[in-house]
Amino acid sequence: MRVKILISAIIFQILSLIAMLAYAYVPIYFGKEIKVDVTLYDPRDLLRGNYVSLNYDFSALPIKYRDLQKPGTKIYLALKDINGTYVKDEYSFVKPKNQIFLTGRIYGNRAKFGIEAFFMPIDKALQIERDIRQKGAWAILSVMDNGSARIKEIVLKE
Amino acid sequence: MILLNKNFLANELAKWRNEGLIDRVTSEKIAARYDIDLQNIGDKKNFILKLVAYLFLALSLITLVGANWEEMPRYVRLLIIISILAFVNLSALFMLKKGRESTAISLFFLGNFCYGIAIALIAQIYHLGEHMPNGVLLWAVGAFVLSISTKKSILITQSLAIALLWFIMDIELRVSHEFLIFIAISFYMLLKDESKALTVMLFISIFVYIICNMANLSSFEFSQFMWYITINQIVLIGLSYSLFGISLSLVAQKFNKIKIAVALRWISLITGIAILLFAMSFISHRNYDYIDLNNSLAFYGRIYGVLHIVFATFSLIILAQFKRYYVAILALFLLILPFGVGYFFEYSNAIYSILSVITGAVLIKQDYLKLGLSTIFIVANVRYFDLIGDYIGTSLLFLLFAVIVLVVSRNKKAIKNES
Repeated sequence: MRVKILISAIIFQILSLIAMLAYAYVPIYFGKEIKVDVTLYDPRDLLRGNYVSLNYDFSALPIKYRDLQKPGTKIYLALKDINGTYVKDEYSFVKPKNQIFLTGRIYGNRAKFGIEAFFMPIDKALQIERDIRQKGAWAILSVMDNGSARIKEIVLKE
Repeated sequence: MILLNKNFLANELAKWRNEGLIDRVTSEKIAARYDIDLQNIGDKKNFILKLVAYLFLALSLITLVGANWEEMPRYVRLLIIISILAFVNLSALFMLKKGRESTAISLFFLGNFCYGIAIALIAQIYHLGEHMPNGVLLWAVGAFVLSISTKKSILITQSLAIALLWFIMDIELRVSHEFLIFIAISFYMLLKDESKALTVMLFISIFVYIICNMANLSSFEFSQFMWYITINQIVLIGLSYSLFGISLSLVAQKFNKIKIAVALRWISLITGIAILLFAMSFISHRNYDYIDLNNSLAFYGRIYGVLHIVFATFSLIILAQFKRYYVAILALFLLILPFGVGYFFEYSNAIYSILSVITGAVLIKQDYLKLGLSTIFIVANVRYFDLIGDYIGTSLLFLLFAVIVLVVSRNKKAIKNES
């Protein structure tokens, strides 16, 4: 009996990893690919290693969306296509219709959309940080209909 | 014989045997007389060493994952880490079936780390940067499921530590009351499988939960003055919580939960003294010069004031029940302490210093000689260097310290003469 319970617990751990894997991968597989402007710097996460922290101009919230909202409140950002690059259209607390949008949460005076970290080896992170300072870059995102997004890659502007 | 003394005697017996003072048979006879399992005490040390080794192994794996092997395809990296997780856990299961319980538990301990590493790896591979505590929560849940099924308190301790990590990381967004579920499960498991480590971890977890709630409530009510006021309130709650821990250790001892009693008394004492020494060093009237919100009514009227009263009152009742009258006096002091630091906040330093010396004296009275003396000397040291101009006041304070310690010493002498 005890062995059966233990095996179930081990299977639970592995299944939860598979579920997390699906959660991470589904937006990449089913999402629509878009391109947004991005800048970055290079910190380190104690568990997950080195990454570049991505900064989007739409992450900083206008004053009317800050302060009054509790941290963690959901916010939606509608995007519009300008010459192949998606840029901020407007923020709202209700899901936009007939438009590509990102779903995020408010953290102080910024919103996080789950696309702020891009993990890479330390040398590469430092190199890309230097390149982006000179040339600028786009983040290629894969966005689902519900606004959840994943970063596919970072592309330098030529 | 209490557990601490048993451990001491077991270690001494081993030394005497090695030095040739006694032979193996005599050492075993002495051990049997005091119900000491010499074999198990050796096994326990080996078990702890195994846990430490596996902890380093886990750190090595975390660092390896952090290196971010881009040259290796994603699926290969995932396959490796999930295979390691499955292999470690199945090996543990195999060891358990073979009856090698301590090896099995150590492997499950490593397995729980591997599970967390796998979560970190998936987050790294798919650049999940939205809210990292969610990943730690998943880690805590998975670790708890495995730990509960083993019913081993050392694994529950590990899982509770992970849950505590999640709770602290999640503070950025909110105070997660769901943490209480982890605390409740751990408490239940502690009653099933007594453990010092789990007792200490539970004590810390509950304290952190209370403090975070207080800080959260205060931030909405006091804005810029929140910090000074909250620190003083944390000190008050921390002191009554520690005394409550000491009282509960007496209850645990009565119900023959010796490991829980020893650990609870130790962690409560250390926490209480650390808080007292912090308060008498840093809670200065200078912080309150421009605040009059910190009065006793503001404290008693709020949820954490009620909590303070509950802790101190229950401590008083339990201590009186167990005839620990000297410690019970401290509980009485704690009940009126918010009045003291509320109305005379200019003298907070002095009030906490006097309380520290009284605590030191009570500790000596309760046969914690070194701890009591250390407390008194730290207070004297800090007060001497911090007198800053007020020579008369400091001199009077030292005089009071001397009187307190002399009173205790006279009583000790009287008891000795009587005996």
